[in-house]
Parts: sequence; C-alpha cells; structure tokens
Amino acid sequence: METSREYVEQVACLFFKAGTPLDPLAEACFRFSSKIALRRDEAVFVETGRSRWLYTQPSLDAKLRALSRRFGLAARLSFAGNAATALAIARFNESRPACLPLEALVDYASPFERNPELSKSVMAMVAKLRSLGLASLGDFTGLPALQVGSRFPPEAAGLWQSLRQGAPELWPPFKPAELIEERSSLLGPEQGQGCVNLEGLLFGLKPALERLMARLRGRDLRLSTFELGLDLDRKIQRVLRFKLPLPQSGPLELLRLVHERLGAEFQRRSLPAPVIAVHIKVIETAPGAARQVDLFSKQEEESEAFHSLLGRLSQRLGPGKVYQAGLSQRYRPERAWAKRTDGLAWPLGQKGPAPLPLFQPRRPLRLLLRPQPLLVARGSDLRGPQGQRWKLLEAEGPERLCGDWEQDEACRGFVRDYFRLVCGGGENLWVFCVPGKELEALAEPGPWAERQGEAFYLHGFFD
Amino acid sequence: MPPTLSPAAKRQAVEALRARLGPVRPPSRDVLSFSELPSGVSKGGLTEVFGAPGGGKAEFVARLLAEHPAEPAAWIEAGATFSPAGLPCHGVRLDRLLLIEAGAELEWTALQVLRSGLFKIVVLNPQAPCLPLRRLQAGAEAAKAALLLLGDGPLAEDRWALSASIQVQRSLRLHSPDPIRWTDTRKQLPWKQAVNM
Repeated sequence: METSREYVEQVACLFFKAGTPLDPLAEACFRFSSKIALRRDEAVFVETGRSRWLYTQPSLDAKLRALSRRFGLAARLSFAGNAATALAIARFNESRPACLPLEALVDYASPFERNPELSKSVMAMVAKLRSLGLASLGDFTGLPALQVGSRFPPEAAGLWQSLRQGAPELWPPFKPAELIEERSSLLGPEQGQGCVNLEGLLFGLKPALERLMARLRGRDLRLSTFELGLDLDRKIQRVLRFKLPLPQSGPLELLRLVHERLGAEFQRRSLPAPVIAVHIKVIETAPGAARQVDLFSKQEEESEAFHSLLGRLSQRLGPGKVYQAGLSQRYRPERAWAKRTDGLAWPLGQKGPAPLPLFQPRRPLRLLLRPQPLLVARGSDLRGPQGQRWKLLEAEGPERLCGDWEQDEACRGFVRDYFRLVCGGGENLWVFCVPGKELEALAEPGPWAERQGEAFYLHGFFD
Repeated sequence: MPPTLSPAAKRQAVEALRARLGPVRPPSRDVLSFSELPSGVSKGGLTEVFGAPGGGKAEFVARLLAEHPAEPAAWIEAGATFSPAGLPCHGVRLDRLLLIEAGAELEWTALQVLRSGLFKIVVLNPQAPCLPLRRLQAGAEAAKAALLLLGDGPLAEDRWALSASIQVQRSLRLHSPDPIRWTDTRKQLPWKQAVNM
C-alpha cells in the first residue's frame, strides 16, 4: 500500500455501471494521454503522470466528466497512484485506500479485465480473512509478512506485496476500432416517432456529431469526408456524402455545413417518411493540429470559421461564386482580372504593407457582361441599350487598348479606343469604339468630331 | 390667459431646458473612421450609399476600404457586373477582399457572412431594394461589422434601421478637385437633427 510513500496521483479511472460500451469514450480520452486502458464495459483508465503539467487534477476531473456526459454517460471518477487503487476507490466510493473493503482485492488481482476464476479464489480468500476478523485493506496490509506467506494461498502473498510495495502494472494497450462511426436513434420519449423536419433532425444529429468529433480529436485527426445516413421509417435509407472544403475539427461549424446541405437536399427531395435514426461514417480524415488554445490569437478558430463559411456558400451558391480576385496581365478589360477560388486561406492577404502595383490605370468598377451598342443622338444625347438617356457634358480619351493577338488564329486580336464620358446626372460611362469600324445604322454623328462615323459601345460605369 | 413670451425669452427658456436635460446623443457605437465622412461609418449598423449608375457610390466605398487595409472585407453582389480590376487604382488591396456573387440568395449570403463574425466591412449590392433590413441590421450589430448597402436610389421601406444614408453624386467636371460629393440624407430629417445636436 502506498500510504507510507509520497502519494503521486497519476491514474484517472472513469468507472461506470457494468455493461456500458466504453470504446468510443476511451478513444476520445486519447486527447489527454497516450496511455489509455479499458476494463471492458466497466472502466476507462487514463495515465496522467506525463501530462500532469498540462492538466491540474481539478481541471482534468472537470474535462473527463464533461467528456463522459458528451457520450451520455455518468462516470464515477477517481484519481490514484495506480490503476487498481483508482478502480477500487471508484467502485467502492471510498477515497482512503486503507479503508477499502477486502472485496477490493478482486480489483487488485485483475484491474484491467474480469477473470471469473481468479475472482472466485480471491473471494474465497476474502471470506477466510473476514473469518479472522479482518475488514479492510488496511487490516490486510497490516498482517506480518511471514503470516501471509504461511497461512494463506500464494495469491494472497502476491496481493499483499503489491499493496505494500506497489508492484508495477502492465497496461494492456487499448486499440480503437479502425472505422469511426456514430449512430443516434431519433425514437424516444423526447423525439416521439422520428423526425419529420430539419430542426428536429439537427437536434438529434448534434450529439452524434459532437461524439464523432471528440473521437477524432482523441486521434488528433480532422474530418474531411464523411457519409451521413438517414434511416427512415418503412426501411428506407438515404445516404449523403460530404466532402468538406477544409478538414474540420469543431462540431459547430460542421453542424452548420450539414444544416445547409440538408436544407437544400430537403427542398429538392422531401422526406418520404420520418427519420428514425442517423448514422455518420468517417470516410477520410486529415492530420489534426492539436495544440493548446492560443490565448493571444484566434487565428485557428477564425480559419475554421472561414472555411466553414466558404463551404456553406459554395454549397448553396455553386462553384465559382465565392472567390478572391487577382489582376492578370491582359489589356482586354474583361480579362484584366481572374477569379481565385482555390487555396483561399485565413487571414486574407499578407501581412505588411500593401503590395499594390506601381501603376494602375483607372478602370470602371462595373463592366457589362457584353458591350452594348450606344446610340449617339443629335445634340450630345446618348441612349443606352435599355432605353437610358444621358446628356453628355465632357469626354476624356481616347485610351487605346489592344492585344490578345495570340488568342485568335488570324492574329488580329482586338483594338479599342476607350473614352470616359461625363453625363448630366453625374454618371461616368466607359465607352469604346473600334477604329476603322464603320458606324452602324443605329448611331448618328456624336460630339467627337474626329470620331464621326464610328460605332460606339457602352462597356461599363465608373460606379 | 397665459403670459406671452417674446421670441428671445422663448429661446432662452428652451436653452435652459436643454441645459438641464444634458446633451442628447444616440447610443455610442464604434465607428470606422473615414476621411470622406466626419462622423465615420458605424460599426454594427447599416449605411446606405446610393446614387445613379456610374455616380461613384462603389468608388466611395472603395475609398473606405482603402483607408482600412487591415480590416477583412466581403463584397457581395447580386449580379456579375462588378469588376474588381477597378479597385487597385483606388488603393484597395484585392487580397484582403472576399467577393461573392450571391444571385437570388443575397440575404442569406449576407447573414452568413455577418454571422461568421470574420468581416468587419461588408458591402452588399442588392439589385432589388427589398431586403429585410431589420435582420441585416441585427446581424451587423452582432458581428460589429459595418454593413454598406449600395443602391441606385434610396430604400423605400424600413429606413429606421439605417444608421446613415449617403447620397453620392459625381462632379460634372472631369478633373474637379472634389470629384465625388456626398450628402447624408438622414441628417436632414428633423429628429436626426435633434439627435445630432
């Protein structure tokens, strides 16, 4: 027994009612320690000696209880110097090891697995000890060594020695299942006979997602692809595959993505029957970036929120609708910039001074999708393609833009002379004419005497 | 018969009452400083910027973006006529700007962007002026973001949700020293004048 030694608590034991499946919880506990052991369907052991500088006992206590609640389990939690003592303390709800009843010897004999034969022989020994008037482990460890060796079976001597001297324990390694899957039933007193709307479904889905993400965090992984299966009444199943734009590690952002996708899905195809269960299967993961929360920067959380936002927007608006713009080395105004949809990262842009180009010609902020013919009427009146009327006051130009010879087979490229026009209402238009191209029947001679007879096109607005 | 007061005495009485009430000011909100607007642009509020097509409203907003290069901004458009190639000449860094073509999902997109809490300047260009301003205002307030609504004309409904309404008009001369003029139309309302006293 360790009462005589300096007591260093280094094992946490989560004890549950027998028959509770504990593999998912044990998997999630890997976030606290790499040394986890499982007593099948009864207890999870977490070796905390190596992480004692990361977690104080009260904080670890609170975290483990919260994690247990996330898996819908109510744990009895204990801390001790070894797994057997921690298990016995939790089982008998007695914090002083010396006061534990003699029946705790069964846990000392086999802390990591149930061994019915060993338990039987230990209980027979306990009966003998009780007949001699012993009641607690303190009484047992107080026996002289010679008496234990000569009067009791060999197991008693071994137990006495491990209790007195703290024999090292061999922890059986816990290996989580290869496939990560979570399931949640939507039948019950709260949900009734399944879910018929999106809100109810998300309510039932949230705990399953939280458990799934806790398990992935235990493995230091992030979720990148998963399948969501909806079990409908009448034995119908619908499976949706989610490929995330950026691997996620938080359940809330993931839930938002699922919300959007399911909303769109149900608008397209309504549910033919109530959903009675949901199950999530992890298809693909990415390495996690487990580290302590940075108190001085929110960059990691913001990055996840950003990619979740991108995912939701792209899912709803379609590809190519969310982007950053980059200037391209083209003179044709329609091609002067390009969309950048891949590799968007948070924070946007680079730190430091603005990397603006040295010279940027003045360009309009609105470009028509196709240049529209502009009617230049008598008396400096302009008429737009949709019947707009402008009174021309001033014109600036021309600015000749040409290029793209390599873009067509005849190597003609494009040549345009652009003008900026100031109109009576303060509007600034961007129009061009193609040198040498004759005025079409629509137009009449305009205010630019030297340009008479050429066709003008409205291309944009300096909005 | 009540005693009649001379206009000077009335003014004096009113001034005395005002002094007792203290300065009446709107609830303090953070503002983004803006050289074009002495009162700045309200963070957590809606600012309407309207003017004729080609009247300079987008350039007005571009100047705000240029003055806050460190603030991440989102520019949401209903259509696809926006040309970001016109921004760098106003000093706007394209790499700090997220552009979204929302089409018919403009309101949903704006709310998603605001709720993410990542963007401190959100520019919204609805082609039809029928947006639920109250929801957008609540979203902007929660995100503490400056939400700027572009339009060809002033919004007809729910104007009470606006923090400011700016009418933008260009100078009629090409090389005017003051190329874009603006008017804060909300300040012309009588109650607004009283609040800003």
